[in-house]
Amino acid sequence: MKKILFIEDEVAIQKTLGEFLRKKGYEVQSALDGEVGLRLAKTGNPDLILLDLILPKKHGLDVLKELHLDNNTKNIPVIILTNLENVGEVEKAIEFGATTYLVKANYSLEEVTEKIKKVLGD
Amino acid sequence: MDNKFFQFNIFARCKEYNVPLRQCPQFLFVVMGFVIMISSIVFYLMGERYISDPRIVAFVVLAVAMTLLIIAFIITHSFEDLAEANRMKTEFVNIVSHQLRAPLTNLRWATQFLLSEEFKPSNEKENLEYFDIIKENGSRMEGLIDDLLTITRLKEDRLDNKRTKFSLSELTKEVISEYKTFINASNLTVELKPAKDLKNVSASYPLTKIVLENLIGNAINYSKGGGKIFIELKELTKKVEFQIKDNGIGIPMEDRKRIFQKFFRCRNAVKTEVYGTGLGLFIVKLILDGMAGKVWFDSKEDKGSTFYFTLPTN
Repeated sequence: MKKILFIEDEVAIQKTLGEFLRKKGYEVQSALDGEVGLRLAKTGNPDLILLDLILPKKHGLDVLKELHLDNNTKNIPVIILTNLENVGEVEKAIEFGATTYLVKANYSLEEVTEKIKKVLGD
Repeated sequence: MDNKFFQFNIFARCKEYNVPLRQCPQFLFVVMGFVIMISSIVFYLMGERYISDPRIVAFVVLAVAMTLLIIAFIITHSFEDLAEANRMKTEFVNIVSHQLRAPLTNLRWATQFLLSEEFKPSNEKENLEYFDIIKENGSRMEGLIDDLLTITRLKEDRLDNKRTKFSLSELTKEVISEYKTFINASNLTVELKPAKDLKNVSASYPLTKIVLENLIGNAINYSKGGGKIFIELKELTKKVEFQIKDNGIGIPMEDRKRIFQKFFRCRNAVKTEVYGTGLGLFIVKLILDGMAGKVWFDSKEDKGSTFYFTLPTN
């Protein structure tokens, strides 16, 4: 069973997408802020990270930067899942090694799951 | 240091304003600077040729330079205001669209999940959790739209801002009774202590009610489950002071400067599950500034906050 680390502070999103992915057969670990997310990324060996950008304690881009600089985590694919859509954020996310950038409002649960499957090669 | 250099980087500033170079205030100022220098040299050369007294030449050059400088200042200043308004409008649209998108996504995804084949609730409670998400996020969107409309109406003077004399103590009692269910559900008690023979305030009744709703609502929302909210009304010279003290999560030191800014929410408030638009205190300040009132606060993180405001009595 593939393990997904879901770093997102919106409890409602954690509940809907997190539960949807569990029902689709993934193991989902939740983190509600950037600091916990980063710690779990370093200790939990996830196969993929879903990362929001506006997070308490540590901004998503800072989490991404630290993941990219750490040899143990730099190869974990990261999907940015946010509602921010400005070019600057997208450019920075790609520069810091994000695999793909999804604007939540533009995707359905099924479509997000399809993107995850594609990145994980399922 | 970076900010100081940024001030002089004309192209970066113009890019930030998102206006063409010919409309960019910083670029216009540089152009006007060159115009002033060239005009001064031309007037000096002409004056030297046709006017014998060097003091008159110096005076004419100085007068021309000063006049051009004043014109340059007026032109660039008005362009700067326009460019700043343009930048703020873009920023505002970005923030509002983000704030609206979040509850919209929650609504859509909760509905999609409920309708999906994957959803097989093990009990009634699990079923209701997703309907709660839908209900809560509908209210979130409604709250945001209400706050935005209040700000627009306040700025356009379209809200009832007619001053009347009324008892702040009676209005406070009214707002507390509106929040009674909420107060009981949060396990809180509210104590109101008005000074004896308190004078009436001279302010807009509906706008003062919005101020009280925001401050009392915040005190309830950010209390850490249980405790006491203490409201005191004092009479000062020509004004009444209102204070509301809670023993909630408080405001972190680094967030204090920004507490009355539009869309700002404290880090520790974001961490709680309490949803806020970040507009409440901005509205409170906007209203009180417009009614010759004042608002300020004391706070200690994890211990609680006290918000104060004054309204004139005459």
